[in-house]
Amino acid sequence: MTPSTHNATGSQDTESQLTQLVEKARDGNRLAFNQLIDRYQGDIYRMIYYRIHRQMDAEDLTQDVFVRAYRSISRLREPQRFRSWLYTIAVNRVNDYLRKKRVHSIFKSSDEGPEIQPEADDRRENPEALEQVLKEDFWRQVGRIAQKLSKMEREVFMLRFMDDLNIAEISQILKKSESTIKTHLYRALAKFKKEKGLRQFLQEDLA
Amino acid sequence: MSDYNTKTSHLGENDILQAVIDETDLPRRLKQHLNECSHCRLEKERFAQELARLGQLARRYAPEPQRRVTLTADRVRGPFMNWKFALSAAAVAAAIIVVWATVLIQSQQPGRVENLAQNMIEAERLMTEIKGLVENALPPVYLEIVGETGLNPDEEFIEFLIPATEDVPRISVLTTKGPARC
Repeated sequence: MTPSTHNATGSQDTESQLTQLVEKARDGNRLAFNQLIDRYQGDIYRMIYYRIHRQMDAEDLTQDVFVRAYRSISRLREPQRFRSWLYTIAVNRVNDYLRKKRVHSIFKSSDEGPEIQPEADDRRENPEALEQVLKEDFWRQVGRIAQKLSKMEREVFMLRFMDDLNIAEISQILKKSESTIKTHLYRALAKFKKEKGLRQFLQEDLA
Repeated sequence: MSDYNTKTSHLGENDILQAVIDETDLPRRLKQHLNECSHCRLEKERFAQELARLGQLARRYAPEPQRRVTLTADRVRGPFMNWKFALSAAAVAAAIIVVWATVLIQSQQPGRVENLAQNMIEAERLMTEIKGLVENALPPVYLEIVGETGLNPDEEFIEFLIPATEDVPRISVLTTKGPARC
């Protein structure tokens, strides 16, 4: 199955419902905005988590993204672009967070690593523990490919294949032309194709 | 760039990547081939499936959020309405007013102009002293011992002692009958 081009807004009805909600929220209707939160907070939270790997910080940032969105939704001219607009705020907040973290790490002897989940001793017997091992392996492999991509390639690749956004949306979020997005995506895929570890993991999972 | 393999008549790796990104961007010939060739179609689908699985697993392996996003009144009011911010702003404003008022009051105090004139006289006296030291660093008592006090040699005397280079005639000073001929 190829990544869908519209995962949150499947039908035209949903599209028009969404536009109405955004218009209401733009007019100051908090109830409408709460419905938008219900609809998108999972996506935004995951998008942030994929990039920072810290659950608590990802929750804080998600909260911040929606507060910022609420404060400035009156300035959103095209309600149909709400989703990409929300992701733009999220991308900026993640970049701010990572920048602050880098500055912070300069003044610290050792940077805090990603959140370490408590290890279970009985992994072999416990199916949940096995899932935990797979999860750690998966994120390790993703981290490895992410390191091989340039900043732009990584962002485009993640938005397309992990956040499941289409080219047009990515182009709006990153404020680049669609052909530029495709070029970065092409380079990222060429590097991904050479990444045997992650590909093997995915192929085994598919099998 | 297309890497269509003419020997095997199948799409190359680059073409497959291109097709996964956006099939409509492929040249018409390759697009048609992709539609007709089951091998290439399978190749493309397999790669697209891997990428789709990446997204699905990322979703599965991300922990669920523990908190729900809430829009409480103090959060949505914005930073300028925050009471802490307002308090800090008021403190800064008060400090600016105090400093400004102090400077204003000091500048309007009587006798300030007199003080300024006194300072200028003092500075001028100091400068004269410095100039004197530059001309002759010996203290007055030593000047008296060496007989330098009140000595104000005129230009002619100085010229006699240290003639300027360009003024020194090329021939002897004693020659009075015009320049000598070599």
